[in-house]
Amino acid sequence: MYKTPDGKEVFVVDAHTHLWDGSVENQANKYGKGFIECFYAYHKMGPADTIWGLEEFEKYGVDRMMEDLFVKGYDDIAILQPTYLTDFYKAGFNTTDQNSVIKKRYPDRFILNGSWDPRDGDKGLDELRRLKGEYGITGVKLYTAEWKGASHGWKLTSPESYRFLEECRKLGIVNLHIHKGPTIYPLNKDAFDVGDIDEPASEFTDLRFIVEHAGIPRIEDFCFIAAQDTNVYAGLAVVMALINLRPRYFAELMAHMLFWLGPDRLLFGSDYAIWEPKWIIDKFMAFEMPDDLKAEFNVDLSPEVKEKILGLNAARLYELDMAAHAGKIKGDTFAQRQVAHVMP
Amino acid sequence: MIDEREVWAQIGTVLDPELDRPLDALGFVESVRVDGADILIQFRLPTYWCAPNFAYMMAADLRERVGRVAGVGSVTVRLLDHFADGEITEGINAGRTFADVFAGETDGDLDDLRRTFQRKAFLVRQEQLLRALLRVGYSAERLARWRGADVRVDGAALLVRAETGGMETDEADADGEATALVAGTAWRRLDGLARTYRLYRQKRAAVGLSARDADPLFSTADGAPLTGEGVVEHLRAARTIRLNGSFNTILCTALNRITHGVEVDAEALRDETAG
Repeated sequence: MYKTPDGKEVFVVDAHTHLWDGSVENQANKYGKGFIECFYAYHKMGPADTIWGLEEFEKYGVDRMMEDLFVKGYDDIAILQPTYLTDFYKAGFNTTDQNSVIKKRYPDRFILNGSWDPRDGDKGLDELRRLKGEYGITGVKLYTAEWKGASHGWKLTSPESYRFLEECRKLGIVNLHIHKGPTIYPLNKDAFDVGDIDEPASEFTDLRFIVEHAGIPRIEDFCFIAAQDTNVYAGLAVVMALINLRPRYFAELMAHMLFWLGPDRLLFGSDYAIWEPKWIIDKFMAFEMPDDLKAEFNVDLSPEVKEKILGLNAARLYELDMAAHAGKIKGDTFAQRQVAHVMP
Repeated sequence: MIDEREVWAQIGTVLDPELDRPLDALGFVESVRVDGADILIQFRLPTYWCAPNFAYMMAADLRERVGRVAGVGSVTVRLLDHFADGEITEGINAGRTFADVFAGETDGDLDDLRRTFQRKAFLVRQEQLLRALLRVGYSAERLARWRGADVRVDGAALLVRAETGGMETDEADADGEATALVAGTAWRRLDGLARTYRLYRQKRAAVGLSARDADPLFSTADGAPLTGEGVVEHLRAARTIRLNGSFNTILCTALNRITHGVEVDAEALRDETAG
């Protein structure tokens, strides 16, 4: 819960978090090492006093995560987004089962998402049914750039992928968080192209396609698609970190997002442990849209819009009853300690 | 004897196709070594995971451009610290195509991809020129009608046929002098716009669009002429593409600084019309 200086409470759903193990012991090869080091470079874009040591960053564990999200940070509930990377990490980087450890310990603090990969075929469909049965997932994180054996990625438009989309529909898995990555097959095409979201989004209008990082580095393609498909959303992880690096560009980006998608289709995410939510939310709440952009795009980052981005939008997608939820977590040790020290 | 300044001048013409900015200004060129007639260029991208297709294009362009320098025997280009550095370095210097080097992982070569990004760059540079002209005081309706013959370069200035431009002599903008009619001629002088215009014409040519005297000077990336309304729409879409390029430039140079300690001159990388 974030409290504004005038006492208003803002409910925070952190729509993008991980409990990963990128430790040297778990790295299977040079790609595993390269992957966590790349994440660490992103981490270092944050404010100087929020930077961790590499070893800590590689593997931080449950207790630190609880402190960072719910005591130091303002999160009320966090969504766990798995990234399997089983070709790079011996036990996987942060699989659904790995993430489930923290969900089991603190069930009211997390929403556990699953994942699927169309290249797994029938076995993958069975696994998706298992995830639904065991964890009751309503969302998945899809990583189209994941390496698997000789394959360097997949497209959402493939017939195999459509089988999984059909299955999601059947199982009531309605929130699809999609992340593009750097090395997708075929290599001569634009690896970051978000074009393959357009077609399934038009076909599966009952599913929500939440494009993580707002399609970075293809924001323009993403905006043009999102303007047409109202079931396409923007996950703002990484975008919001720019508030520290270059506030003016953050403002321009937000103006574009608000112009093309409107305030109801934008979701806050810290991308923990890439960044801790506290500083992002502090800066975001203090941020005001510059007048020239307000005038040009006819948009604003009013307190109401900020509230939607920080929590209301994700709560709607995940059918969270916020009042009931606030009641459930009010008494837990994290909420009590948070209330004690977060007030400005 | 090879003039190393000439080598750098050629390197300066190689652009990152995604960012549409020069490799040297981006800080991607790690070192250049001239040994007799042989040149070794080492370059490094911000992350281990930067897309191999763009890396390949940059490597190919470096090798081709530097090969133009007088007296060059061989050019070797080496990509450093990348997940596919071995394949790319080996392939480029053997003169192989991308499709050949990554056989089984592509369904063709890089030409289409290159074209896609040249079209984006074209739209952005056209936007920059159009915005500059709108600021001077020309209307979108008038600009949509300009033809190749209506514009000429004179040093750092752009000359625009006064009649076509649609600005009456007395209606010059606040910087009246900058857009003054050239005495005794039918041309209006716009100081400092020649560079923006030239950059635009380069990209226009790169996407295969002509701008001969009778051709429309402004168009969609497919060559269809713009209307006044089309200009407004075009500007909006192009602005989003431009923002994307600026955003990626910030991200890439920040990652490069963090990972490899490379500092760059942010001013040199700013796009001209950024707010």
